[in-house]
Amino acid sequence: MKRLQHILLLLLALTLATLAATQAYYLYKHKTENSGSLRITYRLVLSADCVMPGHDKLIDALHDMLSQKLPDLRHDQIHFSRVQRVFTIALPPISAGTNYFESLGQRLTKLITCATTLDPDMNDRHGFFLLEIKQIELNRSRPLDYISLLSMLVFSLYLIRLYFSKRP
Amino acid sequence: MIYVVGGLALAICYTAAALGIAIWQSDLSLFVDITMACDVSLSPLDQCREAAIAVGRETLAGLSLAALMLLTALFVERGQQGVKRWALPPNTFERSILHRAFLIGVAGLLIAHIMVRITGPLQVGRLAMLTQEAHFASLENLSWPLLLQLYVADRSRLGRYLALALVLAIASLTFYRGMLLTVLVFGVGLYTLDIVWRMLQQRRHWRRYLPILIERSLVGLVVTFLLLSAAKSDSDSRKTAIAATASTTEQHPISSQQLRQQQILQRITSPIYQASLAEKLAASNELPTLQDGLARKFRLSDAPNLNEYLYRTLYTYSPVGQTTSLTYGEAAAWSSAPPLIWVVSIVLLFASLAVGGRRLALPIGLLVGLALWRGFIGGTLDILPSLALQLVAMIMIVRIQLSHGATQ
Repeated sequence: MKRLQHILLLLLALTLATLAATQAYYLYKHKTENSGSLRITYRLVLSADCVMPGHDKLIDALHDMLSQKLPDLRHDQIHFSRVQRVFTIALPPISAGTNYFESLGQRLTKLITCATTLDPDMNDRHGFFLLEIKQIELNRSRPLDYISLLSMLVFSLYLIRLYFSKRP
Repeated sequence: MIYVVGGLALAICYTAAALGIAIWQSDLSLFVDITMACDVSLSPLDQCREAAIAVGRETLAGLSLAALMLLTALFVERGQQGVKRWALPPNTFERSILHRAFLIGVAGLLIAHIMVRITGPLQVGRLAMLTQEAHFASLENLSWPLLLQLYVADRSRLGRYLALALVLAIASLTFYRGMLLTVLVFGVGLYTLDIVWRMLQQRRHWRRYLPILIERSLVGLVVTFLLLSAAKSDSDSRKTAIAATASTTEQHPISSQQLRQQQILQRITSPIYQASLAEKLAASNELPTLQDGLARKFRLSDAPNLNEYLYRTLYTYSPVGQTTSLTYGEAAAWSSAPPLIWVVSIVLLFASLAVGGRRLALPIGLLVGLALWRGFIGGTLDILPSLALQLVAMIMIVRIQLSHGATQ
């Protein structure tokens, strides 16, 4: 029984060391890779009888639209959110000007479906209007990672100390 | 250690319940708050539910792994003696000036709070009152865990019951129903379990513990009655509001009892949806940083912390409030590694603190266990500054008392 306890203790100490190594790897990866992201913000104007395209349709459409500029773009690299009237898209960095993203907004507007046909004058006030293009730096200092690493190292040392001090 | 193990068990049970509800409740259309959280990422409800289930699974796996590590270490370590340098000696209250000063300070704070509530401008609704009395609520939130720790650790009867009386006074003024239940679990349930555990460990001297067990159980029963009555009265006032909502809900003509049931299910399971929302927003938006959270905690800035930001994202019409996005949410927002690693490591950080405290016989188990539970729900980094202050206060009460005693 005691032997079993000690094997379990050793296994857990090794698991914790593996987790600490994984954490250190991610920290190193974020430090070395200059990973940035491009955030494009649109003002979303919708009338009451119009609906946005669904999540999957929007991802597919964005993928199709952006694949000319980013041939290696994957679906999981496209992120978006809608908070009230602000629609945000996050993408890997693209070298494109404001015009490109304005036309992207216009193409997204065409995906909106409305119950009634909008009057042509309304088209100017309806859809995705570009607000901001911003480069977000993901490579920031991450105190959480350091606290996590420290805590796992302290506890794995405690487990290893227990393993050696209570050896059967 | 029983408080840390208890806090961890509570976190595991809560996650299991939230995960169970997320798996079982496939129709989310009646859960308004959850639907709103899913709508932010434009996810269909079934995809949103799958993402929340993944959050629940990862959190549960992290907590279970940390629990296995902690329990194995405690099992192997059992019987090992520590250095009882920093234990609270008997009659602490009578000998420690700082202990008395702390209790008097909290009593003064409560009197000031009551005066402000009586004489201040009349506020209608809980949120308006919370905004007006925010500073008092923060100071009381900082004090009551320390009072509860003194109640369970102090061997001086006068000091113990004064601390308990102040905890009950804070409970009567609090805006958080969760506090009442937390006091019940830690101050009554786990405390009684701790005494029973000691009796089982020292079977030869069990008679010595019997009067203590009887006294604490009787006090526990009275406290349970008081706190449950307060929780029930709070629930009744909320029920009235829900019944009013039910009568105006035309889309889903269901009874107020069914609506109440759904509210409870939603309340239990929504943290995993909110953690999932934090993860999605972290990929596309600039969330408040850790520094923003700390500045907000010390009232140095009006910029929202992570949970306030998520709350404002969901409920734009109600700017006061915080979500409960779990330790998973803060990891998704601020860590580069998978959130499971943060969930494991933060539990182990608390466990290391408690083990260190136990070695020195420093009475901090309840403080650490409580911080583990509160941090698990609302984010650990929000709790760490107050835990640090509470630990420093406890060390000062113990150390200054010892030096005071040595001069006598």
